[in-house]
Amino acid sequence: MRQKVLSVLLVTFLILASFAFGEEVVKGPYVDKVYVNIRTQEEIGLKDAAEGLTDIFFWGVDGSTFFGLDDETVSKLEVYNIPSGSWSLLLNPIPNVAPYQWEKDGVTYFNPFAIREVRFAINFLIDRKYLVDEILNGAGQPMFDAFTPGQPGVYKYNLLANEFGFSPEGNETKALKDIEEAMVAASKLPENIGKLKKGEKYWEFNGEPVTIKFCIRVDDPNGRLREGHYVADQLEKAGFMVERLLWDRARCSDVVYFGDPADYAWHMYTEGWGAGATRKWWTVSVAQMYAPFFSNMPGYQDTNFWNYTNDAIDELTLAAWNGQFLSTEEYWDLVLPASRMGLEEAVRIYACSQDQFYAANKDRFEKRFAYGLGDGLNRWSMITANTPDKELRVTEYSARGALFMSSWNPVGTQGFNDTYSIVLAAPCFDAASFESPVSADTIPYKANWNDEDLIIKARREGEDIIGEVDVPSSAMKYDSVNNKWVEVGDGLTCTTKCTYTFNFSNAHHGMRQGIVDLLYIQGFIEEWAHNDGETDPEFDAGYSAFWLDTLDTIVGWEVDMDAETITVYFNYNFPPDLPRVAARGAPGFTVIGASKNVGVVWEIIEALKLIVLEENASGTPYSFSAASDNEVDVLVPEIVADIRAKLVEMKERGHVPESVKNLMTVEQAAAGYAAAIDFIDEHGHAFISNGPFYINKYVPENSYIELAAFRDPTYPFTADHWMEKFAVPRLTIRKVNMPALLPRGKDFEVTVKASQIIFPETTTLPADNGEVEVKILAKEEISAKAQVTNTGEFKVVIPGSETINLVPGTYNILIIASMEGGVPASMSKSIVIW
Amino acid sequence: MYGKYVLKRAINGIAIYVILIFIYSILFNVTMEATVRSQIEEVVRAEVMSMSNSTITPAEITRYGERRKLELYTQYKLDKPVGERILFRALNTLTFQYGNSTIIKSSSGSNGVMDIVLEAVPKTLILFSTAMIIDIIIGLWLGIKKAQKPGKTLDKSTSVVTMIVFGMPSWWLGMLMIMFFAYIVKIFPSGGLHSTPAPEGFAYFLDSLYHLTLPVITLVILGFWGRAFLTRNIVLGVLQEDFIMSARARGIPERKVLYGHAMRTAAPPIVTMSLLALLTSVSGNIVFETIFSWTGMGNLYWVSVQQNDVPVLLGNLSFTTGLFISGLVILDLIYGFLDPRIKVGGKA
Repeated sequence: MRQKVLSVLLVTFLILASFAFGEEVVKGPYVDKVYVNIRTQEEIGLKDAAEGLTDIFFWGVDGSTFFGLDDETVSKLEVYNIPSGSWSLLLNPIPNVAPYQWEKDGVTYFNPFAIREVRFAINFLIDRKYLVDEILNGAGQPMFDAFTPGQPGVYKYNLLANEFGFSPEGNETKALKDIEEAMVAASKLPENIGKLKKGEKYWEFNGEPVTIKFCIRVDDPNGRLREGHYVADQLEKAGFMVERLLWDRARCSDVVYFGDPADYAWHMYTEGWGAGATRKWWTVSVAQMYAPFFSNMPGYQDTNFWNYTNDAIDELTLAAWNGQFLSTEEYWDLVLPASRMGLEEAVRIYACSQDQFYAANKDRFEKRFAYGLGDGLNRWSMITANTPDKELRVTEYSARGALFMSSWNPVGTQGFNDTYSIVLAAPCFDAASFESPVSADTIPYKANWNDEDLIIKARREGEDIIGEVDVPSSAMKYDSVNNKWVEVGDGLTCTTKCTYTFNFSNAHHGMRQGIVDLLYIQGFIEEWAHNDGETDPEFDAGYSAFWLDTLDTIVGWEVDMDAETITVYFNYNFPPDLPRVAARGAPGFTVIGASKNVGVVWEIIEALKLIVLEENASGTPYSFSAASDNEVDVLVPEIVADIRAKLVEMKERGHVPESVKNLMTVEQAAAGYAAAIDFIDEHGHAFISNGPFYINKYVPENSYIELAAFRDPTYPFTADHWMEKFAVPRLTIRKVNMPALLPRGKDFEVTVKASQIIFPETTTLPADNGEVEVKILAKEEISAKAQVTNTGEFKVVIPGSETINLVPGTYNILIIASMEGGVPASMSKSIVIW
Repeated sequence: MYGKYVLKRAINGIAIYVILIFIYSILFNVTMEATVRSQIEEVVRAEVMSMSNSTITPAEITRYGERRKLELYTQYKLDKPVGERILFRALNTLTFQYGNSTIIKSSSGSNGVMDIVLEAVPKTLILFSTAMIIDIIIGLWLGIKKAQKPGKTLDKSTSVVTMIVFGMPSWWLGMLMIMFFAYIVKIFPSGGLHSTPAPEGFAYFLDSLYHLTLPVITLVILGFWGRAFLTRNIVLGVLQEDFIMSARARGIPERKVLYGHAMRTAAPPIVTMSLLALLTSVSGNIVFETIFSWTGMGNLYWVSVQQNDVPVLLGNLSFTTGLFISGLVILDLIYGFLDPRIKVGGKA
């Protein structure tokens, strides 16, 4: 008995001891402090990182700058390179119909780019590998369509390029043959007979060489200028005289983007694009880069101009964008044919992506930190960067030498409108959900939902999708006219219903955020987005333009104050990605009128509103609009003084916001104002948010800002949590062994050597799982999946019984390697079947 | 008589200033229009592109794009006729109503052009004027020493060094200095105005001096050789004048001949040269400031050109042009006062 008691006591002691001496869970980011400084020269910023004068150079440099560094410097850097942009060629296809002639100022011209086949052949005429290897020095990848390589979700689109037989090296012989055939066919049209002929060197029309006016960007001397010259040389090989218009951005834009294609002032332009964020769904990009309705194709939907039209692409892309589909299959049946048509039309031809390089000091970090596959270093880099002394020194590149160029306006449409405002503010704010920087999967953040809590019911009626979820009459919606939450009433339906719970925690001023905060935020957005009359002071047209369509999708909220849940009834559906649907309906933690993940607590929003609407201490006529000379800003000392004075006034007069007046007592509101005032007094600014960092010090005269980790025990997340979440494995194809020639009826054996990489590391390990699929892209596709033979080696056999059915000829082979949750890798080869 | 001279010089200075401001206004408003329009187009396209990852509808995106374009056109006053813009900007600048910038903000978040310019001026003055003063002192001292013993070792050796250093681009030497002192021996910072985090109180002053040292040394190294060479030639020319020979013949000590006689004659061109150099230093140096992350007037000029921020450009240039013209007028007035021959419309 005594022994038993002793044993129990011992076990109890050990358990308690393990709690007492066990490793404490550190909430928030790894580091305690982030110090930020500025360098106005990229090379100095990189060198500072290499020599340990800073930890991270938070700026992506292009290949020419990075490759200019000496080997010793590079060896001291941990490099994060991402495809940051792309190059494309825009063609003027006027008149886009036979006989391909266009009259301008009394002269008739022949436009070879009006022939679809000629445009399409340019895909084969240009050697994209040459562009990447010789012009970008390897800092890029060949691109065949508008979808950035290496990003999630581009895989299906990129298969289209394989279907067309595009390859990095191109096929000059085929291109020249195709162009020749198309031109010969054009010359045989009755309108062109005797006029269009092949001269000694060039095609001639009415005795004059057929000329391509090629706008080449001269202000990118190491990039697009060289690209332009190369493409021009290739076009000359095809028998077109090329007039190389070496112009800067302003002149090119003026002629190409602001001019009427009918002016016949240009035929081709070397475009450049930024990559933006990590993307999974490219619906909008399909429309943006191929559909005329988006105003991004020649003519730009200007009714005074000649316009390139393609009703089929417009119809498909609009249907995809407007959600006119009820299943994943229907979605792909819209976007893939639209992309295919865009490639076939070849009015915009993609050439390559361009890499950017971010650098950190190698010795300061035990392991690589998270970053965005689409946008490079971002908020997650700061949250997951881990240094031995828990201090992180970050260097910004800023030509002006200023920390930010835009206002820290947490309400208006133009707040946080520069790179560094977002870099520094985003780690201080947690949104309802976010898209993973590595997979672009929607991840619940402050708001949570279960799959079973997401209910979608819809049917098609003609072109419309009709919701079949009944909305209870007791659901609430904010009435901006009467400034109160009202019941929506009977008879409403919607497509989607989702119930959300929340990871509520203390905000930076120590006050817990809760359901009331969300109701306040929704009320504020409804109020400022709706015009309640001609003299409604609580209305902003720009703000309304941003929010109104989103608000229109919301039918009502059911709020359970005790359980702290909100059920949202709304009209949005995206069958391929249900978490995306749930995220769309989630109540937000920010009122900002822009696509920025930045927000502040309700006390500051209310104080900002009141200094805009009412008199304030300094008498400044503040506005939420950037067009005003007095845009609000939560960092500018003079404005912060007005915010503070207003908070004091609000506290003294017992102010409670209209939208939550029945849900909040005067005392509760006063406690919030007091906490905000204390925060301002301690830190000197009014950027009070809810994320893993807060701005500890801001000294504008020294351009100095310091972030500190928010170690509040109620904060729900650790940096480890995110590192685990982002540790997505993926396969890369190292080598493919397959025969170049194969007799029909013989087994087709392919050995694929694949490696496994776990984000964000770059070290590869031989793959021991995953799947490799090999496809023969014949009229009827033949495919087989691979078996793992040795670690990292997959062997696929397509039996002779399948190859016997193939017609002799050259076939493209597509090899796809994938792992669950990771971005698939693909490689294409060709084989001759005889 | 002198009053009329002063008035005439002042009116001349003001007239030149007004003409220059109008030229600036015409140049920036006309030549930048196409650039600004295309920049707006690209900004709006980029913003629309960044929205394309969201679930916003086509109508919403189209409306957003149109509204943004309109907002930016209004912000840059492109919705106004070009003549109106030229006149408006020039007159505002001439009446010191610089207004607000279109993009650039001061560190404290102000978009007032005066705030932005006045934030940059002290930084430039501290760096370039400090360097210039040291440069003038060393240059004068060395120039006189060289002139005292022309053709001797000091004169010959420093002349060779002058030829080497004088042709060096400041950015190149700046980079070399940073590479050596910041990355190899690691005794100076690689740039910036202060450490991060900046110390407080007297330590902040010392920290600023520490950050100032390397760029000042670089500028002085680049500058004083040339100034010494010019001073040497001016002084040497004077030393060969008859009155110097006469003074020497009268047995006046060489030191007195140099400082009492020669330098009095050589002083006006040397002083003019030095004062003009000091005035020029106020406008800063674009490349040098960029290398040392020193955000002064040169950097401000460059960024405002890059950003097409016409109000800041005009503010920056009107300030430096005004200062320079004022300096020239004042020099003229001093000369007129000291030497009656150059009074009356400059007739000697």
